[in-house]
Amino acid sequence: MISLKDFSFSYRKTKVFDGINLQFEKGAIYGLLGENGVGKTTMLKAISGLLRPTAGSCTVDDHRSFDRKPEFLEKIFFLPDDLPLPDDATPQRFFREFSVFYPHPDYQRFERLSAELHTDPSRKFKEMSLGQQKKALIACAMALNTEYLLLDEPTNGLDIPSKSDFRRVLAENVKNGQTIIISTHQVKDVETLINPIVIISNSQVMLNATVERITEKLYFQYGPEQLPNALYSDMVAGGYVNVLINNGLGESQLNLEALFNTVLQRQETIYDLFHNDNSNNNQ
Amino acid sequence: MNNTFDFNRFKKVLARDYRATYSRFGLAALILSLLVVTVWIFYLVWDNTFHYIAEPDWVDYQIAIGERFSTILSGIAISFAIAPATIYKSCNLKGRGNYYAMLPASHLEKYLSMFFYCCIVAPLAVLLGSFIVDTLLTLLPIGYFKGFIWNWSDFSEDYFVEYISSFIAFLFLTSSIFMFTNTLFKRAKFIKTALWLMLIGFVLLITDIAFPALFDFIGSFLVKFIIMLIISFVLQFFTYRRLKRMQY
Repeated sequence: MISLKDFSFSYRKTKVFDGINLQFEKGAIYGLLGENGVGKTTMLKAISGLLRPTAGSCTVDDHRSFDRKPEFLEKIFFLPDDLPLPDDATPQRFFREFSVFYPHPDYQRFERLSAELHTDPSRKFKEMSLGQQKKALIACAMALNTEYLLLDEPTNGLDIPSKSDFRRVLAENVKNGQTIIISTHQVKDVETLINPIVIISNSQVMLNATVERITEKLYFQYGPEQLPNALYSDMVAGGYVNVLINNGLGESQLNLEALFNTVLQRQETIYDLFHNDNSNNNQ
Repeated sequence: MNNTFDFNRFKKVLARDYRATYSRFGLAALILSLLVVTVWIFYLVWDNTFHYIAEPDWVDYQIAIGERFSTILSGIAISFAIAPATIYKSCNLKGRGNYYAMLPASHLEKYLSMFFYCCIVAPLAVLLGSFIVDTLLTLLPIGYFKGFIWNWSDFSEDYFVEYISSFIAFLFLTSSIFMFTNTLFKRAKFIKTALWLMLIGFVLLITDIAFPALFDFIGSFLVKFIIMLIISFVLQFFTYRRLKRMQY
């Protein structure tokens, strides 16, 4: 389990997180959502041991991340968004070079994933487009079979078919007990993939809940008009999606983009709705 | 699991760093090994042309082995200075350094591997390369390299032991400085270090003029030797510490 306790982080005088508490349970694909510059990458870096909290703690299975002990490092793999790559390396070489340090790498899985993502692992990175590089790295990251996999903006640079491939490959290949955290601001790209959902804003965790929990608390109404009592309304094909507090309205289909915007625009309401409830696991 | 040092894991770090050393430092090692060729060419072309006109008996001239040896040592000194910033250029860089930091090995294993390649392998590669090049040049029927370098009579002289120990301490210091600044500076690591060293040298020069007695004391071989070793070990410790506490 990944645990952030009273976690604060600042870049010199810029405060990014201020005493947040957050837990990522094992065996789920978490969506870490937030606007640009809100601190998603910072959080992933802190979890993977690249940044030291300015206060509080960040632990992964009781290992303090920043200690970067081998026992911790072999459990986790972080795939950043802007990864500089050695020009003359191929994904094959890249995978072979790193896989020897991890306990359960699977080369056949790497080749299969590369094929499913339509990338050639024997081609040099410098000869690939940004999207192809990204897909090759996703194949590498997944085939290392680490317990925790952190993906920072994995769909950036992918074309529409590649985004579908990514969602399919991830959904089909997630291992039992493996925890994946996908950070993104492009919420549509991961809508069908993530559960639970974590939304951060203003140095705080505004939401950390499963889809079931969210639809228990919020009702997503699809209709021809905007409702005056809606927390948030937005145009969708054929009308509007209205986000309402679910006071016995029943089940509804979550609209991630509407949820995201609701959380950003109605922060206090959402915070009260989800945080003044003991059944939520994050506070 | 031993989180401090595991020999099998260390071997993997060595193997990974070997590939980096080979691909990033190989060309530099080759160029430094060829430094002795410049001496050979200089005497063959430049001095020969001019001296031969003035002194026809110049053909019997031979370049002192000590001069060849000094050239080789210069190449080794340069290799000590450039190896850290060449092989481990990205070890402290945001982005590029992520993988180095996240490689599942301990800080000690990574540091020892860095020490091994920067302080042992890189200079040895240049030494070996230079000796091979020097030998090949000696075997050529043209040029002024006469006598193999290992037959140099000065090797057996007493002062040579003192000279070589101070030189090794100096090299260790050089390497320690550049290893440390490699973890300190993000860009233009070699140039920034060289500029800082020039500044420190200037300050020392001023101090020497102001307090000559102090430098008379430091100037003795043993004191100088001990000071160089102490500074080197302190810098090595801080290099390890910075690797451990580096944020990316």
